[in-house]
Amino acid sequence: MVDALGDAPNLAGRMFIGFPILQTATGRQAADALWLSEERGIVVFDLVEGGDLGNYQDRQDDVANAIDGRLRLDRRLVDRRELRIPIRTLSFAPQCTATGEDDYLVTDSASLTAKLANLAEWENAQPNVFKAALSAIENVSTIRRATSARTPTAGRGAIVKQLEDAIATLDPWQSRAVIETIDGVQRIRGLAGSGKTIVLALKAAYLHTLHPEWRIAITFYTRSLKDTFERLVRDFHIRYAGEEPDWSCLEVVNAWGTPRGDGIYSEFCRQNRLEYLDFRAAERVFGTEPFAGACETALEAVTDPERIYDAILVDEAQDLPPSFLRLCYSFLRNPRRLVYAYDELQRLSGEFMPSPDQLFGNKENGQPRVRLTDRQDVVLGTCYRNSRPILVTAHAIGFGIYRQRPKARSSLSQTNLVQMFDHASLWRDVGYSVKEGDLVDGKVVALQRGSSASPVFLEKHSPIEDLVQFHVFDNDEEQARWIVAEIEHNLRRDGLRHEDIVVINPDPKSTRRKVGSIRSGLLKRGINCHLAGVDTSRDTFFITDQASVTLTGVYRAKGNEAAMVYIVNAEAGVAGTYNVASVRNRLFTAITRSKAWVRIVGIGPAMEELRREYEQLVKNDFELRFRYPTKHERAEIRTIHRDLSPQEKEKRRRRDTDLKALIGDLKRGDVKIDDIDPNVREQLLNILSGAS
Amino acid sequence: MTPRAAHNQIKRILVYLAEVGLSDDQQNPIYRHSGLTEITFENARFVSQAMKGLPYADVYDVFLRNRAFSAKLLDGALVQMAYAFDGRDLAKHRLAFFASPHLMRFDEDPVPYFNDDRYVEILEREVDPISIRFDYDYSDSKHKELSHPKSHLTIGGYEHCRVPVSSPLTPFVFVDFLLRSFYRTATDDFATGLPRTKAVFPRSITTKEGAVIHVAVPR
Repeated sequence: MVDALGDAPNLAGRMFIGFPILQTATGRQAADALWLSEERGIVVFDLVEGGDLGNYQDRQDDVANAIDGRLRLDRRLVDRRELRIPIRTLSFAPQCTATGEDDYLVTDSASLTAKLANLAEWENAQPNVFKAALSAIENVSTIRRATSARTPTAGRGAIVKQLEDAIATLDPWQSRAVIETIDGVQRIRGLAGSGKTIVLALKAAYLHTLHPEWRIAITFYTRSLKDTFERLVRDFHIRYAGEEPDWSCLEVVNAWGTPRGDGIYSEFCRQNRLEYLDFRAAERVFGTEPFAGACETALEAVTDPERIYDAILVDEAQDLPPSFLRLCYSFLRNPRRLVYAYDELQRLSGEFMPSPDQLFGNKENGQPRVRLTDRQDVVLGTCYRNSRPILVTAHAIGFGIYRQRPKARSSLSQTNLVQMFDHASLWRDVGYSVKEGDLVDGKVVALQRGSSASPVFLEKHSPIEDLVQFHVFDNDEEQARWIVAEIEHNLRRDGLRHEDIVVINPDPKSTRRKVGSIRSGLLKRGINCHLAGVDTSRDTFFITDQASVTLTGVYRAKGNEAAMVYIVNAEAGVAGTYNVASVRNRLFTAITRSKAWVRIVGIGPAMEELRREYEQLVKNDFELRFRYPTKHERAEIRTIHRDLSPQEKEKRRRRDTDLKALIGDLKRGDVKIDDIDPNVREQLLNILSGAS
Repeated sequence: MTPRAAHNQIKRILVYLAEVGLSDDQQNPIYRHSGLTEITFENARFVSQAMKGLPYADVYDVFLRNRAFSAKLLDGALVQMAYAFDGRDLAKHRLAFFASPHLMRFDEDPVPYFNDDRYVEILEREVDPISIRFDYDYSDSKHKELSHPKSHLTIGGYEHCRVPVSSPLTPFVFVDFLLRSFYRTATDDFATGLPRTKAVFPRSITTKEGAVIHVAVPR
């Protein structure tokens, strides 16, 4: 049928195969196919294999009534008691010559397009009704809904309301990612705000509805995502199946978990009777990568682990160690349905995400265990949270597109970039197009984002100068005073609510101390605020029933979003000589939390430099213009900007101190040049002049 | 100490705890008249409802879920401060500290809390949380010498534990005690910077109560 329709001209719209799931008189089932078009409305297909049509009229009635019932739940689709979009049905029977009757169409391949083209047009068709119908069929009409109604008439509050009221629909890639279930591993890569979490929640609800007997787990890194996932999965499942999910088969669990059985790793240990390590124990043994070490050890301890899950869906895989994904893989029954979603740039530390063959290793015959076909590898390129200027700013800062190359790096590569995708084509996948130049190694290229990858309604509500702002301050007090005054203005004049505002400190180690002056400033003005601290399962990131502004370190900001985002102390680590990629990724993650506006502020010359990078971006009209680094250069910057271990950092610090002490001694004459071994002197001279 | 002074002192302490990063969340104290002049926190009604016969972790969770606290500290401990005045005289106070039953105590290792380390909440064993309460009641009818001193300290949930205390506690004295006892680190003494006043409450301990082990409030 898809072939028969594929080349049909004049039949625009969206086609769903094996979707949506419907409650019919004969039970729960997926529709064979559904076509939604702006000219004809809805056509539901009944697929007939073989020559016998059977009771096709009843079947057509059942699906039509089920769709009708689903759509009537949405007020926007009903005018008094009339549905505002026509629903037609059609049995597609390639091996049958019957023609059916007026209300019960039957067709074969040859006449399919003609029959569809001959359907009466949808009278009074409206784009809004079409969109709402699409949203209802995809089961996403509730996702943008705010936690409580807001009624501002003007100002920023009204803009937020307008953004929340936009009808949510899935793009074709998202809907493919939801519906296509692979017997094996599926990878979903996507930008911040491209809907990875929604897609995973929809997919889990969809699988659970079709296969209630499967044991399915959704797992993730950020604890506050648990509440979000539970709410989404429940909403979606109720709309698919008309009832609460069976939480004993569909688990929303943390990656690590405690021995009380609320995590994938802890459950793995329990099932295989292995020693469980908690954070403290793992940290003692494995240092800075406690979870990676814990998973690795558990995997090594069993040769043939118990397999209890039928499907595991992993969100935020970039922040979970590769050994955790391997652990999930080995915890799955055949055919090992593992779905993992990630965004390379939101990786907060450590190495790049390994490829699937590196991740899952080889079979005994030397062939990779997992090889992704196109269907198993989805890239979500459209960003629905951040406007184009905000997202492009995040990318420019994240990669260091307009960063100045530090002067001292004489022997090193000529690129100013901090990091770069190994595959240049990934830029196209994530929604950029080439405006000038070539997207190949060693060549200069200018990339831009079009409206198909960054919907215009996200940016047209405010001028660009208001969407993104960079501010430089001389000291901490000035910064705090400005932020407090701005937040007060947002709350008292702009019509924003406390939960519309988030203050993010990108450097996790300093958050608690660095945001103290902002917190005390807010409290003194009678504005309540809280710090998103170590969370337990009951906490959520936002305190929604109380008026309280959220302050947070970047780790806990992940997976969350707010209309107005303040990034404070943004300069931290930017001018450093190590961990530079991580520092940039944190800024990227922080900036991409913004649904509407972002203020990036900080102190001193390093912040001045960040603002300069942004000004370059503005001068380039929000295009990313750079020379694509060669393979050699990419390897080099990966080494320079990698994360150092605490031992390496300490070694660097000691050497640096020793050198400074030497210079001091030489200047004072405590040590004479002649005191230094001539051999050593010569080598040092050579190295410093770049001769060797 | 007057009602206004107590109210102001609590506000200043909450600002201080936020500023140094010892607290994650707080509620501005409420000031109201209901026969007595009360200085209390939102949802204080859960205190009496929650106490009867529930396991510690459940009591804690009721307080946390309903935001029945003056401040929530960085390791999840809850601080509650409530005063009632009869005119300018102190009638009652209830000053309580509930450690989190789910999280590692700050004093066990402060570093992960200040570094905002990931996974700090992943904890194998159940922790052994403490609770401390300083209660005061001026009513002579409730007072029973030695067995129910007017100002007393209750440790843990022990029903008849009422260690005599020499006088009621000002908010400063109470929080100063918490910081010195449970939130000291090798490098930081958070108590020194705590905003202080000289105000005190009059002595309430009897001679007999002063002759057994008791707590002396600084004057």
